[in-house]
Amino acid sequence: MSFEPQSQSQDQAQSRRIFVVEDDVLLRLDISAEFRDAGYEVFEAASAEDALQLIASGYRPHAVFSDLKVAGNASGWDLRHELAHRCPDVVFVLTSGREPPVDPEEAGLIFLPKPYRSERVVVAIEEALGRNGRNDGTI
Amino acid sequence: MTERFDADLHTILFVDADIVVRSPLASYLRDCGFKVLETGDTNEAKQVLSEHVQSVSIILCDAATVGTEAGFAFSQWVRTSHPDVPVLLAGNVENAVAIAGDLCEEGPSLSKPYDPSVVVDAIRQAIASRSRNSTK
Repeated sequence: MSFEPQSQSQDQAQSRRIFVVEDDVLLRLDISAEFRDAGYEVFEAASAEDALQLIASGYRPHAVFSDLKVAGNASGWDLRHELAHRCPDVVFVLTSGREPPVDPEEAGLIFLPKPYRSERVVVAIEEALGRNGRNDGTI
Repeated sequence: MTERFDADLHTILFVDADIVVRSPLASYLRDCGFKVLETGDTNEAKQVLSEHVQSVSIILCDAATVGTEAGFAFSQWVRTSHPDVPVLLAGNVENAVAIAGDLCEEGPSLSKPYDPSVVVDAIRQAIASRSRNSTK
């Protein structure tokens, strides 16, 4: 098995890929397990910087599920801004125990308040990927 | 007779701060059938152990990982607090020997960069050895 980031064609044959960005490790493990059970390839990051490092190394997510407040200097909102430039087609779902920083509808993002039910998060991502025509795993 | 090894019965707690290194190796280990709990530092690893220690079969830890304790000190803590859980340390030998010497520890048992198949072999051996010792 190759140990390098996969090429675009290899990637398209893989299951849907999601980045989970959450600095509460127990919460991150739980929601990541839920996504894996639903068939996703999951990459786990505690910070926006880590998620961006993964992207810089060649991994492209179909969806990102990020807490608003994460480890490091950048927030989930900062990550969303950055991805709008680097991966404009990615489905971005933001979560927080606080109010969202902007009106989610106006900003074109999905917001799920904490505490959330893991199954609900998976369904929200499924629906969003379906709307974007990416339920087949293609980017 | 060769011992049967069911990877899907075992959970690896994998501690490595470098997400670009950790993520693909964690995926590889999952492809091999293991359940993998990923953490980026030893503080997170301790939190995971406090919740999931019963299900953790082995810890794979970068000797130079970050957290309140680095890899060697963390491995000492595990040996005291959770003596049934083996720890495989990975690292650059030259750097690690100096740190290990300060802590009177052995050097890392795996070298970095990781060779995935070597890591899997080492994990299997460590788990098998633990099982043999626990049945004595």
